[in-house]
Amino acid sequence: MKTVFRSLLSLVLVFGSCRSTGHENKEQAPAGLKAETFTFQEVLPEETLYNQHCGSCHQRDGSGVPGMYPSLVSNPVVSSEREYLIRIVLEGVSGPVHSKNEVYSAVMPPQDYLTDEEISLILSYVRKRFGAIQDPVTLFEVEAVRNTIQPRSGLVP
Amino acid sequence: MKSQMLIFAAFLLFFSCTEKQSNLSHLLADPDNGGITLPEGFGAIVVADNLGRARHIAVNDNGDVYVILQRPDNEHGMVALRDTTGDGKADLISYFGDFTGTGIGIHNNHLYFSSDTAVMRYALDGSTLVPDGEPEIIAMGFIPERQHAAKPFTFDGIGNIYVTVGAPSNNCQERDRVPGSQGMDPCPLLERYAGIWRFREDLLNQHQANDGMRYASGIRHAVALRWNSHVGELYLVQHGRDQLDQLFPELYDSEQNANLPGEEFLLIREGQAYSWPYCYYDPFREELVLSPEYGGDGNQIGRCSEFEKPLMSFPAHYAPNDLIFYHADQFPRRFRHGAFIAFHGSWNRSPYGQEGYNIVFVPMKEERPAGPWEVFANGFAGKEFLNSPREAEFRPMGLATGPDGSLYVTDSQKGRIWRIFYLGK
Repeated sequence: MKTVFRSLLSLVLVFGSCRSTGHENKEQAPAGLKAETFTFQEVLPEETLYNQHCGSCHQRDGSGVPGMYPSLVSNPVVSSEREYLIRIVLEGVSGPVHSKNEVYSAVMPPQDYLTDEEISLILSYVRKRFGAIQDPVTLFEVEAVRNTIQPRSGLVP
Repeated sequence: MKSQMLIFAAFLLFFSCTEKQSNLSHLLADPDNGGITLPEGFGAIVVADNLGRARHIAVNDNGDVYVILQRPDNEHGMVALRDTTGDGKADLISYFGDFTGTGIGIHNNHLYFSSDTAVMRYALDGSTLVPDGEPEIIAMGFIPERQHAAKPFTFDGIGNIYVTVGAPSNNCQERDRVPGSQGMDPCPLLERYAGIWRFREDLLNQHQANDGMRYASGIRHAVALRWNSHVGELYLVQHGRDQLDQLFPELYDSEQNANLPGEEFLLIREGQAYSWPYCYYDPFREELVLSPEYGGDGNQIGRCSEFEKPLMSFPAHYAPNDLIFYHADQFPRRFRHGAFIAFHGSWNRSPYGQEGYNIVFVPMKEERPAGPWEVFANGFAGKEFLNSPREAEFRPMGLATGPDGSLYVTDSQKGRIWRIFYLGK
């Protein structure tokens, strides 16, 4: 444990020193400070799940990445049929996505490694935050949709 | 005596011209340089604005500008610009062509361009702005993909065209971008993807599998690809892998993900295998490190010692989207033969601010960098701290040198085109 901590600390130090001598990076906020603010903030479990499994592509603020990952904010898919939404999470998306005069090219991998509960928490959060829909998606709904999906050949644990 | 005076005057004139260093004193830079910041002595003109999602750019010898788009605008995939009044602003703007894409370049009186599945070309007659007729296909048979599908290209000047074929994968996991999924070993994607393919520049209908030659492999994706005619070598800047913390949370935290891996600036040799997907570049240790998909624990090097390290690396996730070598002499002497790299800017640094969104200069001496990189043009994002890419006002995308030595830059958010030039001291 101690060594892990030490190596992490040295990494942070190396990182910090690189930053201070780095190339024109001085304009940005100090990284350590940001990390602390983030760690000590009160974060809901569903928000943590969203950030961890969805946030890097769809972004923590849901705004997506132009040309790659669609925004979830006021996205009609977010407020569409719950079964459809659950299916997207379990099966992923691999056709071009057209939305608001934009084409999104990147692939969404199937997130079927998430538990029914995790998916229900994430989708309830997404619908509430980005679609202003209050009623939650239940884990039984997720389970029901999962049971209709053929398991992927040989790859799913 | 008189002739001596004349010679002296000519000498003075010659020197004052080379000292002053601006052949573009008639051009007036925009007061705000079109919203970007530049080193002292440089200015910029907005050539055109709101063209659509601009990708790469090419400038003809007569100054005509061609830009390819990511999605159709005005029902076309490309746009041609001409300045007929000499003020630097395009006053003829014509959309044309049926294909969107990324690559575009002018070579031997042809306008080459690439969709995600083919490289094509139109004949240019040197006076008509918009090319006539149907395009010819140069290279085809690339497998249609949804990820890293852009096909940027470059010419070596001795008859060949080099085309990037990106990996349809983040890191060749059995299940792409699924946490904990292991890497396929050897990675089967290397057969048809994740490398640079070479074709003849003037043979029609070449097929990747039959006629293309895999010039180099183990390159995840290189949108920034350029032959350096000064030294006769191929260079690229790789898009490094994403999501270390999301895919291997027990090995990496979000801070490590935000700073790993370095974006690699590589000199590409014929037949060479580079390190993707087995390794990534750790810029703090200055080592290629074993990928977690291939048994790495964040420290282990293993087979990565066999691969060539980059010439230089740039901060993680900066997204290098174009590379040019500046062979002109409109800019001061130190820029000659150096590299400009356009960084589209990150999306994968959350919860830290997104970064990049700038143009970097790397001084070169012959084949290698001659000093550290420096930010050349900045301020594209329009704000100091970016939560996500959509907040950026502009994102630098494509680069080209004009016939007078101006540097042209495209933006992919709104489609602004800048022309950057040296004003003199």
